[in-house]
Amino acid sequence: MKTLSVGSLLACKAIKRTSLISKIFIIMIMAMTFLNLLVVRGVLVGIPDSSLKNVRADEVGDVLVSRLEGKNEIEQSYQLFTNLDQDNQVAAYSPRYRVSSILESDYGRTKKQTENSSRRSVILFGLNPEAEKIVTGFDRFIIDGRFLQKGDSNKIVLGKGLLSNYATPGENFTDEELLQNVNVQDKILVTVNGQSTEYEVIGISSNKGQADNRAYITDTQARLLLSKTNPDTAEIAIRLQSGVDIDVFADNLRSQYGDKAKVETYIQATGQFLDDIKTIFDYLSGFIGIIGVFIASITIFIVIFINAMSRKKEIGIMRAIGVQPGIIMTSYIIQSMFYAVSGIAVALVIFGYIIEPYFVQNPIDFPFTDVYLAVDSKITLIYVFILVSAAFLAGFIPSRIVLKQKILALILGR
Amino acid sequence: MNLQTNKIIKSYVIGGKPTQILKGIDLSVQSGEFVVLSGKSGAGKSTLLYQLSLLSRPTSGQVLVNGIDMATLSDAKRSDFRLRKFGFVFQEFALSRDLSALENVSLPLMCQGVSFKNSRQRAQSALEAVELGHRSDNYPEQLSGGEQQRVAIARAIVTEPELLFADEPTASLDTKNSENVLQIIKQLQKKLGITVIMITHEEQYKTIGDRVIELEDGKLI
Ligand SMILES: Nc1ncnc2c1ncn2[C@@H]1O[C@H](COP(=O)(O)OP(=O)(O)OP(=O)(O)O)[C@@H](O)[C@H]1O
Ligand SMILES: [Mg+2]
Repeated sequence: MKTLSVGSLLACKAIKRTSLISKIFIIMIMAMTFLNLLVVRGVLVGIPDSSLKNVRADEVGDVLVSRLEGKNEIEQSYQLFTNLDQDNQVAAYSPRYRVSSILESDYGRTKKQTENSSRRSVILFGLNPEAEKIVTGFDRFIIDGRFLQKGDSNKIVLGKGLLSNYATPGENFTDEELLQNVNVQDKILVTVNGQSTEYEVIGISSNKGQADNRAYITDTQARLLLSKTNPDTAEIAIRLQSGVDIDVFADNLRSQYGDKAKVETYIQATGQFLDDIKTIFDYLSGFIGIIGVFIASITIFIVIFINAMSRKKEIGIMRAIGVQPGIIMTSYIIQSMFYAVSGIAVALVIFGYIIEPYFVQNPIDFPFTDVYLAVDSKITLIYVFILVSAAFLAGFIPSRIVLKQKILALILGR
Repeated sequence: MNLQTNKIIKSYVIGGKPTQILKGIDLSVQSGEFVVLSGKSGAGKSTLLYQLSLLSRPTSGQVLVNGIDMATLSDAKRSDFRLRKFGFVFQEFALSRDLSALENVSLPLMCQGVSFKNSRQRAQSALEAVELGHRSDNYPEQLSGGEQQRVAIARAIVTEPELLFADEPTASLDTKNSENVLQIIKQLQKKLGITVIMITHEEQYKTIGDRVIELEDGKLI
């Protein structure tokens, strides 16, 4: 108690008497180190993390049920629907049909001229517009025109990556040919099972993911094209109520329908690799961060060491008049901690009020996703703990070195 | 407090071979006595003072304080002994540069566990006793050499020690300041009844004590 109070008094005085410039300098170094830790991790982990989040929000929902390998659809889907309808853990679900098709544009002009029409094969997704809006908010992805509505007939929404008028070179790269001269309200020819029908393009979609490369029609239309008599669908994206354990839910569903459908959490559906990359990047950024922490600790160490060495005589005199070594050591540790904690505080303020909001406003524009900074308060706390511990040592070791010397050696400089 | 030594020998290894700096010192200082330690430079005065004041351990021989052999005490106990029973005034003004005069003086009290407020009050009176009550907020660099030495004296006496050690307290001061500092030590010694052991090699200041002990080549004469 006495050690702590007298030690902190000495520390306060020492800090107060350190020039403002030095103080700002040391605190800035600590702040930069800590920011470096947060930002490097934020970006590195942010890449897979944002991808995962986007795929979850924009495409697969929390849990994705899809057809088994080799099957065209999820058998006995109606059982599943009834079940999902009754499950109060489920916020919404969107059944999706898949229809193989060939799309063709410019076919009108081709007849007059000798050039080729432009065509490509595309999977049509048959969506229930209302359900899809709740599960993925698909209307957000419409960059031109409008999204599908219930009752739309012979209307189609095309991903921008399919169209020469919309695709961004380099971003929507594909081996397949782009459809030429397609704008909203134009007609294109849709061929399914040899049957060709004209569809009106009502909207263009993009979400830097699948919505860039798919085509969408209503579920009713899809069922007509497939001449379906049962409600079996190719996949079902499920959005759960917040707080529901996704893994547990998926396991449950799998145990009931595992023989009829593939049940995956969004992580599994995206490919476990994104989650693995996240873990790897977490370690990588941790490793890079540790180097930063090391440098910052050395900086504090040097500051404290120089301070203690230049006060050898004072420390010797204090020891001579009976000031306990613990008090002197405490004073140096507190000084060191002060710099670390102030640095961390400055860094957290800069990060929380400037950097993070900036990235929310201006996510890094990656080709496959918009990257936000990954922030994890648990990991931030671990970093705080590491830096504070390092600072503790940076205060402890130099004072220990000085205090180990004999009193007379300190006073007389022998 | 009475202080006694029994054949103190202190040797240092100089140039590879052990050399006796103190060659068997037998000394007895009575409670309340003002002893002046004198001798040529290099005679071993400081070395003797360090053994007496528990800043160093003799190679052999004993230092007895009130009959207790100080060699039996741990470093921490000796430190506590210095804190509670001894006062120190060094040749140079050995104040902490980050602490104001008042804080320098109150430091040993706080280390004894005296409350912050109480420490400051007592430190203020100690500063007033050395006529520096008005300079309590000044830092060492804002004080003259003589003033700093008076602050050091205030720090040495604030704990009401039983024994005051002073190693050439006037060495860095001019004549006027030297006399002033010595007068203050003398007055405090009388007023508080403390035992004083002071080193000086200046002839004119030897008479200030009750007794002069001459040291020559590590021996008393
Ligand atoms: N730690 C040490 N190592 C080696 N020699 C030492 C050490 N301390 C003191 N000495 C030697 O011991 C001798 C006595 O030193 P001391 O400081 O006690 O003398 P002094 O009488 O106080 O002299 P002065 O009047 O100059 O202060 C000197 O020759 C000094 O060099
Ligand atoms: Mg000396």
